[in-house]
Amino acid sequence: MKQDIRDLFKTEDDLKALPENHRTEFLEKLKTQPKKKFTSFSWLKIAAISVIALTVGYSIFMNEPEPVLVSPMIAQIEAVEAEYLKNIEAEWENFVAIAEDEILVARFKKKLEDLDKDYKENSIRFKEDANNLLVIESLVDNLQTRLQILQDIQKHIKILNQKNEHYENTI
Amino acid sequence: MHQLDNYLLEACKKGNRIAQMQVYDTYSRAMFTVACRYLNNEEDAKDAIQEGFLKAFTNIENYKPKATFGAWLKRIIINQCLDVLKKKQLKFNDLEVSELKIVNEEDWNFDSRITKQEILYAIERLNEKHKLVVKLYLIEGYDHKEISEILDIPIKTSRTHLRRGKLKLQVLLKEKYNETRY
Repeated sequence: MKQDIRDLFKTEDDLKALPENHRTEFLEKLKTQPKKKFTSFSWLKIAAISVIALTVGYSIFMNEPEPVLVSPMIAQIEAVEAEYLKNIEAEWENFVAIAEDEILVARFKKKLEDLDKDYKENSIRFKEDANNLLVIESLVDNLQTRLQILQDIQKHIKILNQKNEHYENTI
Repeated sequence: MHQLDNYLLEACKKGNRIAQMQVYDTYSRAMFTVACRYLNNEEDAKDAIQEGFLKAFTNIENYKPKATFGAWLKRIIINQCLDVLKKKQLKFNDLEVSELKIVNEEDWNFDSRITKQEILYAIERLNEKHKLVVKLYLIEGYDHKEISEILDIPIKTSRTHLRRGKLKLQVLLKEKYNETRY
């Protein structure tokens, strides 16, 4: 009797077990990795997070009462938020100015509104627990995503326009 | 291997450590099993997969959903293992001439009494180059084009190594079963 031995290896059975502590070791290695590449507005995010970290650190160090700790943080976040919203608004206007497609504009409007809804939900969580770095990160991420999609679509429109121009010129 | 969900992938693209650890947990054992086939020492295999995972996360933007994430990762891990082997001075001799013998490459029919374990032991007894090509072809399921890319050797060389590896395997396993046909 013959068998095609390639079939024997089609499934991977009995996986090997890793040495103990491999997870902690890997987590350590992950932490030493440089952070992801910077996008145009990520300095804002870095600034926001470091300001918050400093505030938290400072307050813990000085052992100040809770209310004093929270308010500067909210103020910082609001400042970052205002800066972002200003940029987003500007990008939006640019986008509407160059986009000639109503459906596209409507689609992006919807996208931004969805993001805004998420943002409002996260804001509530932030007000409840202003020290939660994950919530703060998600807020900043949300703003950054809005900015990014607006910039991306504009870039895309520009490329399309260039192509069209080129096409018209060749005719 | 199962498909990684998009949410997790997106989080990894953003460099979210929790998501990265989750991916690591999902695939580490399978990848470790693969790495152990190429590196004899488990400690080396562990280091190789961890290094591979880090590379995968740094280059996650290059991942295209046309292959499963597991397949993409496996390729990175295998390359990582080969790098380790290369450091240990494994050289492929590209000048090795392929003999003009017509052998049916598709014929991998062996005596059905032979078990998977016995085949794995026999593969370990092959010489380094044949061993690698046989593993990549037989166990990992890569074709000659892929093997030639992974090992950076011509397709012809890959075929030659595989053919010789197979012949040697047949000899090794024949000793055991005293099979006269091969």
